[in-house]
Amino acid sequence: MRSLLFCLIVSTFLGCGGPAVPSNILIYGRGDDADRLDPIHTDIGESVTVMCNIYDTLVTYDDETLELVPSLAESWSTSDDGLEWTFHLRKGVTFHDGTPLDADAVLFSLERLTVPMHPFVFDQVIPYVQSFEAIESVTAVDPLTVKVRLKRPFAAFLTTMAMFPASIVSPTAVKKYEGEFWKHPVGTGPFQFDSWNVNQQLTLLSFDDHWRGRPEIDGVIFLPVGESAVRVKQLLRGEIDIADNLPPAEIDSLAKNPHVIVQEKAGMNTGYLTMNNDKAPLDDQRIREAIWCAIDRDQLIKSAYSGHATKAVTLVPPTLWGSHTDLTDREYDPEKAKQLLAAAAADGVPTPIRLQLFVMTDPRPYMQQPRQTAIFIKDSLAKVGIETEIVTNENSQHFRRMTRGEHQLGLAGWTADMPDPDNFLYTLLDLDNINDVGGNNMSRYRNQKVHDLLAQAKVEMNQETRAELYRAAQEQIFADAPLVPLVHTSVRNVQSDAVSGYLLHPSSLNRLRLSKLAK
Amino acid sequence: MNRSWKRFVSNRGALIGGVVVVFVCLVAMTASLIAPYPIDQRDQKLTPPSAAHWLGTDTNEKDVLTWVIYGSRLSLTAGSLSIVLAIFLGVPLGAAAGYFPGAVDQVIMRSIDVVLAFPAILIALLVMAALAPGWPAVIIAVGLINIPIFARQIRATTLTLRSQDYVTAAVAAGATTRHIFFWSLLPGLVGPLVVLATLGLGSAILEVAGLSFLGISGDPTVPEWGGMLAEAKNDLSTSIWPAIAPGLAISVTILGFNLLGDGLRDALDPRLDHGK
Repeated sequence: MRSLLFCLIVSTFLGCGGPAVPSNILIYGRGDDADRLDPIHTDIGESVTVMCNIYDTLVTYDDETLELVPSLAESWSTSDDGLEWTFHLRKGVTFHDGTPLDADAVLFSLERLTVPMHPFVFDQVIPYVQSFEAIESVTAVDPLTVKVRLKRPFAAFLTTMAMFPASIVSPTAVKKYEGEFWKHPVGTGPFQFDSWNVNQQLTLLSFDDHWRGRPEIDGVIFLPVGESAVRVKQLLRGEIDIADNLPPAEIDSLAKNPHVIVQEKAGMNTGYLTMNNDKAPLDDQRIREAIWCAIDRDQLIKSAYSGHATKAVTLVPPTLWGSHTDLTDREYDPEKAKQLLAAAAADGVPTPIRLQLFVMTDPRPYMQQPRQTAIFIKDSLAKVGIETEIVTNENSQHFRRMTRGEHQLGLAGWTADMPDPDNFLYTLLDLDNINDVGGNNMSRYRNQKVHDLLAQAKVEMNQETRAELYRAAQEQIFADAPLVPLVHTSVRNVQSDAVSGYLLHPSSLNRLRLSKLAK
Repeated sequence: MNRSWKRFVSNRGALIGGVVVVFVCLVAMTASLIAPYPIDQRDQKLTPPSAAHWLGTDTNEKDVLTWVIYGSRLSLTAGSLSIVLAIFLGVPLGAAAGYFPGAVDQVIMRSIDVVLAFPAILIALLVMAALAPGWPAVIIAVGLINIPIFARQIRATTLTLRSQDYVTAAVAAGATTRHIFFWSLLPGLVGPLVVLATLGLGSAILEVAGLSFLGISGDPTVPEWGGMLAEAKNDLSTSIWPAIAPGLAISVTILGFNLLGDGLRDALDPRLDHGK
């Protein structure tokens, strides 16, 4: 780092014009900074982007597809009842701090997630603890073999082992830094943590001893730049190599520039309008259906996504197995919406209906222009006689308030943590997930039939049968319309033509190991 | 008054300012008649100026000209209301400080010095943080940061007036403090107050737009110039029209108020009467 700093200082004083970093370091410009780099203590996309380059998991996705391939575990097997999983670890892997990777390190990392009051967990907020709740125990059989025992069969277990919270961390580093580990992350990944000046610059350097071989680039610098217009200018001037989270219209115009490459991939995400089913008049199915019919989603896609999205009918994106693609959509039909509202009014729903619409300030991949989307929805609802008041909150506050059910309508969405319908349907609509601390069923939808179907699908091991169960659940959900699915967006990333080898992955993980730079 | 009027009409800048201000006020009052489209009408996204949309369309597919016209309403109303608030609080404070030298003066003026020690925008943001985001909060915030300007000027004028012979005569004749304030001091304060309010309106409109630009004004579906700029800035490199129109509207309006204010100051300055 000292040499890097030296280069920075020297080139700043010499004023040599170009970006003040060694040429073989990739500079990644993005809208926001990471929050914490401890895999169990965050659920922020900006942190995941950094962590998936620092840490490895036991299994991981193939470089291009969602197929699970060996990573730190060279091979694995499962018992006949599906309750016991054995992982055989790769030999000769070391952490960035020199600690060897062995069964004890894996045990240590997984137990931080599964053992309540673990002595090396320094914060009680563990966003994904629910996803690992099926794990009963983890044991180290020998230095290179780990056994995981489950409480019940769990179809998506192997996929959860590829999720970032299950990243393997260096026990030595956690014991050394304790509560500060999130500022000093140490893993086995292709890049090692170098320095972090919060909201200024986060630097990773390539790890020479990575088990897959050292990456071709020397490192990555993550630069948080709040204004998207500034990121565009920086990209065009060559000050950053990758710019993420740009407004759609901006990407369209950059795509015409010969020195800019725009990658596009159907994302595994859903943007939706949540409706608080606990609050009148949204407890009336007709009102919810009327809101669904009042919003012209085709037009919304043109207006707020520059056409780079597909219309959603159910929460599960069509790119994922188990998505119910045969549902007959409720088409845009303001007349029908008015009839439904009139019928509800005749039964005593007070009119005119006035609703608050909660909106976040900063774009998310599934909600690329929240303000524009909100204005679009407000205009659409006004046409059928529903008045809306837009309430804007900063992102973290926005989701916290909606988790507590303070909203009536709200913009929301979900990017899959793992390619399984459970991750959408159970997480976002099961009655288990209604609570004030982190429950993601912000629509507060309670349906026993759906709950039973989802619970059954969780323990069923046959994927065909599971898909059937999920289809049945989606039919019931569609009929109840607890929320309005709006879009599944394409994830687009903008990079300079100097960058090659970096592929957008369908999981939305930004793994930079294969990047190359020609500067 | 006659001489003041002559001085005013012979000042070209003041006249231009007056015309601009009258024009902007007329636009605001007749917005629903002269705007080419209703404010919620959507057409196409980010189109350049054309016969159908003289100033193009914005990212919400709405006609920029229509929004600039309607935007004048909120900008002017919020600006005026905050100045009214500043006058109602600032004038009594300034007059009291000027009329009662000693403890009252010291307490008021030192408090105002403290307020002035902070950047205005910081005070505004604090107020916004304390209240719920929305237009009432914007108006209160802008009103509060303008209080010192009124209080200081009014104090200075009061100090000058209270040593005038006619005030001394009123005191000698046994007039009550209230009588002196309303019948001897207030008429003398009107001139400077008109000038201050006109100049203040210009800066208040800018401050309102500034706060709105920062996105703390609440509902984005109400046309307002600062909010329009905030909306347009994300598309600046692809489409400049949605930003130019409200930007120009703000500049021209403020220029109008400043020219008018300067003209009024020259016209109403009592010192200029003595020589003639």
